[in-house]
Amino acid sequence: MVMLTVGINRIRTLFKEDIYKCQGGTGTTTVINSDTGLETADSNTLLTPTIITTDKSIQVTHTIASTIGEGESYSEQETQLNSGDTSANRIVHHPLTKGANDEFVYITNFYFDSV
Amino acid sequence: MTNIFELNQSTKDNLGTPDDTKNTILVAILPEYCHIEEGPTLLYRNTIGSSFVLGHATNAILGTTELGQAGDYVSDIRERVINPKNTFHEHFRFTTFNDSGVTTGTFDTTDYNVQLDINELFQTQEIFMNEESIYYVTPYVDLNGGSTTFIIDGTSKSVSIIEGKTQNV
Repeated sequence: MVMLTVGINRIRTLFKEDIYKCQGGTGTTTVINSDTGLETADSNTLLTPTIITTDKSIQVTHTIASTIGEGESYSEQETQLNSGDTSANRIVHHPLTKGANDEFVYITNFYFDSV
Repeated sequence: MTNIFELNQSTKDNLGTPDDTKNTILVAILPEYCHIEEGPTLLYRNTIGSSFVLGHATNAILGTTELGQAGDYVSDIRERVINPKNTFHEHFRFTTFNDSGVTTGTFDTTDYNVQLDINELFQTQEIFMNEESIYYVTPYVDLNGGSTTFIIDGTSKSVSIIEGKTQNV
């Protein structure tokens, strides 16, 4: 008895269809599983991502245009599910200041599998 | 004549419950797990230069900025790679971290591997660009004869990988 690839891909698709938006922020606290979202979200960066689907995986691309967040020092980012009620993940990185001519692009991969 | 030492030994061996651990069958519990793995996140920057961008404070003025994508637009300036649990795991589903300018092997997103013929190369883009320390790297190499060399750029570390051998850097 095994999980079938088509079954795993169905879970992947349900996850993908539940993705709402991505958002950046300026919080710097270390990520833990009990986090419920960003520490200090910047609502200007709450944007619809583009999503690429392949076998048992998806790639989520969140682009923050040059007209958004000039001078902000971004250090966290999330992918939201369920109309924004739930954060699927939160990443924290070394801060990066966004200049007036900068576009920021986050690319996150999610993999689905059975072992 | 009875050897008193052998007699005592025999008495001791027969006391208590016999040792039957060799008859115990250990049943391993092997459930099947279905999991979601959060992969690496790449943060890169594009700098628009003098490109015309509607809504931009200084780059949306007709006559002073170049319509469309200007010649000084620079894309894909990699700034951060954030790895969950400080672990980079390449699944070969996406070419995000393949350095296509150097790799001469076949990065195969159908069979999820990189195929190298003799003298072909595979090089990743930066896979650690944050504040983490790198403790170990585990490449899985399926060799069909011969050997290959694994090199960590920016260090003096390298190891020749030979079929059938496990080697540490």
